[in-house]
Amino acid sequence: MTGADKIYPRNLTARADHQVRGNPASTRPESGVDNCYPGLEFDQRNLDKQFFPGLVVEFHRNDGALITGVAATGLPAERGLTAADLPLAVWAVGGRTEAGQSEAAAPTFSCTGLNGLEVWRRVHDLMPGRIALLLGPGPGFSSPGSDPVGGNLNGFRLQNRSLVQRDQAGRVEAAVLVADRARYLDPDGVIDPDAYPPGELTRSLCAPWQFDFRDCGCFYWAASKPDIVTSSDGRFPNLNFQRRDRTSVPPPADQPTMAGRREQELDYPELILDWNVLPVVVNDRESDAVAAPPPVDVPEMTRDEVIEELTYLATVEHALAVEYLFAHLSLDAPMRLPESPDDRTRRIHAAATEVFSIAVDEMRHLRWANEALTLLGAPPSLGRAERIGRSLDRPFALEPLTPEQLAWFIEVERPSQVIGTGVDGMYVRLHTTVDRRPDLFPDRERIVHLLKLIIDEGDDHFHRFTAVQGHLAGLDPADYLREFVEKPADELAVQLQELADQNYTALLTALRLTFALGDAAGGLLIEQSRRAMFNLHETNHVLAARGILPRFALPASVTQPGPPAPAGMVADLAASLRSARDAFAAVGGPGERALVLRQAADHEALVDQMLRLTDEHDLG
Amino acid sequence: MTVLLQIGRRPPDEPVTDASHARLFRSAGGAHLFVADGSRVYDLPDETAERVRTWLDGAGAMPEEIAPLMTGGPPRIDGRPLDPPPLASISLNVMQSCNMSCGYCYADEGRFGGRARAMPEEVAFATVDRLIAESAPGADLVVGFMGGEPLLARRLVHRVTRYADRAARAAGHTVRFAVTTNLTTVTPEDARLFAEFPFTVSVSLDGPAEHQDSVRRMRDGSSSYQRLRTGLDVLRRHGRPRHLSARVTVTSRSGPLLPILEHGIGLGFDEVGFSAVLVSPDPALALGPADMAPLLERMVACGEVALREIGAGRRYPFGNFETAVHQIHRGTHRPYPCGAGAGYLSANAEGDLYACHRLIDDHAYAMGDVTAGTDRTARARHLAASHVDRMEPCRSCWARYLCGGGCHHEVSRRGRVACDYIRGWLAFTLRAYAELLDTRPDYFTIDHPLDTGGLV
Repeated sequence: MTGADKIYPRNLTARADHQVRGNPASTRPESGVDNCYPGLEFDQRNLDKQFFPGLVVEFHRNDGALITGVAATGLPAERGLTAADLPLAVWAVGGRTEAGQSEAAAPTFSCTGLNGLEVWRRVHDLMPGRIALLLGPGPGFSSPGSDPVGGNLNGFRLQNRSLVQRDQAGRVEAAVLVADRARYLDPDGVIDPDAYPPGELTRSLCAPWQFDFRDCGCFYWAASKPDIVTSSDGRFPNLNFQRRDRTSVPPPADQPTMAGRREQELDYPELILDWNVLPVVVNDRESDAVAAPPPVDVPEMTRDEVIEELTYLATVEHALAVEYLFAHLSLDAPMRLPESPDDRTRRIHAAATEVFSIAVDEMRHLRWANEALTLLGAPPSLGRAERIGRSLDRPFALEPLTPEQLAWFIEVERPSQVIGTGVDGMYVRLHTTVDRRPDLFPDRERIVHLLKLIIDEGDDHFHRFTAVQGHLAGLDPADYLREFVEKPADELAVQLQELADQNYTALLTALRLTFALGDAAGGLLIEQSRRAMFNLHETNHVLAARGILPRFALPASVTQPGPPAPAGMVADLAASLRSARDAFAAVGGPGERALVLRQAADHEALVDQMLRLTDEHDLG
Repeated sequence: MTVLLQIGRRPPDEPVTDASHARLFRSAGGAHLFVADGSRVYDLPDETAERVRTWLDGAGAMPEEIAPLMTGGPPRIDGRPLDPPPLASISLNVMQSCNMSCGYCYADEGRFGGRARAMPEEVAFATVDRLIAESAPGADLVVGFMGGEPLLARRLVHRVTRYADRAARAAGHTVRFAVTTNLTTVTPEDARLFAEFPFTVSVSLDGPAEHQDSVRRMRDGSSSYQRLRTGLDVLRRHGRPRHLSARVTVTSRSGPLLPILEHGIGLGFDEVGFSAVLVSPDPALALGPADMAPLLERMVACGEVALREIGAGRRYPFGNFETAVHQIHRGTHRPYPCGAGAGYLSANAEGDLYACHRLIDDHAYAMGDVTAGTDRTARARHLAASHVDRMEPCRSCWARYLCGGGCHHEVSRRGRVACDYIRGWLAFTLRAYAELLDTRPDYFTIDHPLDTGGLV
């Protein structure tokens, strides 16, 4: 060997280090080299099922390609083909396959003896433009005499000549169809959603429920499943993971042949219906520690009870969100992590971020619970629970994140073992009721979805609070908790607290309005509310950094019954916000004035939007 | 935890020199670049190689075309010490005594400077239990028998092997075994045990008869070489272990190594490897700084033969060579020289655990005991302190992730006296690897007997 002319990776780590750039931006859906689109977004055979205008072709077969549908319009229908003539098999295809090819040299591909995938490969090679198709009954012509085109379709293609030949009983003996190859993209360059309904393109990929999950071996990464496993007790190695018999002891031994293995395995329908009998596998060993939960058996509730419970639960979410926010603010971490933080700052910030993200989840739950209430025709619920939980009965309290408080949060968020306990346990009962009684809940579909979201997120909170414990492990509480002074020391601090309270009021007022309007609010207020929330958060951080407790003073106006925005409410809010800003700016320096300026723009936009909506919907 | 915080999770940040990140070398095929991070090997065009040379000499900037290799992505070893992993192997010093009295023996005939003693059976069983208890679910485990001469505790070795196999299988593990023996007392029954269970048997060998007997006489003065040959015969007739290797201890009196290597290969071993004595109860036998250059020369002489023979498609089981080129091929990179204190521990006769079999009874490397469990704090401290990026002068050495910082036992006793030798050997094997990959690419794709693995 002579010297290299470029840098060449030689050993395994150097080769593994090579950056794969992925497909170029010019890659088109039909650019795949075989049936798997590069990146496995879909199976090309599904894309080409409509390669011939007016026909639907099925390539997922061992005995060739079959016509499974004839459209009501298009050339095949014009030539008299109907669904009653089906199934018909593809016997041959013809058309240009190379750019440099003359029309006269366009080849014909016989499909006799080919399986569906092999037929598809010929079809895939056909270039846009005129193509010809030979169809007949059965999976292919078997004797030379039964080939009505003499092995060449190009004459028909060049003359644009289609024909359907029937026997005396009217059965199709053969059909030659000539048309332009179908284009898959609509004028906007999108795969036509009318031609390909959801699931059509991904059909037969390796996901569970689909064809290739069963058929692909573990060496094919996309299936992401093992082939061979050890039994859960470790006594029986080398078992077939997809074996049907999951009860015999000892389990059936794996077979050395492909046919033997398949005989043992769950077949396609079984896998679709029962895929969840396949256990979790860790380190090649099946695990029986992970099992489906027992069926839920809870007493049903009435519609009124559901509304009452949900109205209460929304106030619990509100209370938890505020408690967690307060706990977040009690940690001695800056709002944003500095460029090169020390280990202590990094850890406290990680803990604070985690707690904050859980608070944000609770805010989302508050929103979802209220959206469910709107769907039930009930008024929004923006109060804050004075006591939290049913079985966890405990007063609402703003507490710093001491180890004891953290342990309590973990307890609150611990997944319910018994229905109806814990906060998410209450949702389980609601979910079950709504799910079972579509007669009581016409909007069941949407409500069930919202409740499920809340339940699922709750599970995660338990782990995330546990992670907070990990972040803070080994640190002294005195080292990570902020020291708060009892009373604000100066006028600036007093005004800052006032501004924070006004931001809190603005947020809740906007939420009350947007929840009451539901879809009619068009999502406009939600975005404004979110900005109000960021302002509240920013103000609270400034407060906390000065050692002053955020108050989260609950305004009476948002919890009182009655119209969502009684006369003067928005105007009052606008006035309070302005005076809070002015008072704060008056005692503050340039930094404070900048903050006021930033928030003023958001406040004004929010008030503006609220006024417009109350006007439009006559909510006063 | 306190200890870790004091030490810090990362090594000092002062820049190390460019030359510590890469090494330029040539083989018959042209110029190559070895990148320390990830132990990657590249072929370079000659003009790039010239620019790399200038850069590494400190006389120019890093050539643009190699920048993606040097700075693309986060480093594979970033200075964070390994958290103590689950145990994967453990060795039992079943007999801290020996029937031979080799002057160079690190184990001081198994006594490790103390008194001779044998491991009671309950300690041995508890050691196996400890390995299983602290291993990862389903992991393959290795149980080693060390000494002294472990076969002096024959009954125990047999009972522990069967017990470990049973206990490991009941817990969902497979277990392999390793024994290091002088083979002078091996019986047919031992041979059958080694064949029935997956054993790697390492035999101490010094060379041809006259050479071995000059440094390794039996205590009664008889020829240890003849006893060894008898032992090999017993294995041949009654059961050959899955992997049979010879470990040649190189002392200041060893002389040329090639005749010893060829003699060992001729005896039918699956692998013959050299181990240089740096620490010995008889200091006269230990190699000193002045012995390193001749040692390297003799090792390379053996390596050249291996390169020629393997390149020609023939088997040549020179262990040090085959291990090195395979590790280079895989791009082995590690911040530790071995698994000591990490996935590997060694128990003394009383069941106290130490970082490895060479550090038995050394309190600085005590890591718990088989009854109460391993001392995670001690293991974490060891792993934090011995990370090669924290060592001087290791952290500025291009070979640091291939070498790992040197044997803890030798470094703690002698310091780093063999660095030039190790670098010289790796430089040779890098070149040999590049050439072998051209002449025998298949050599790197077949299953290699060395992969059957030993203790660490």
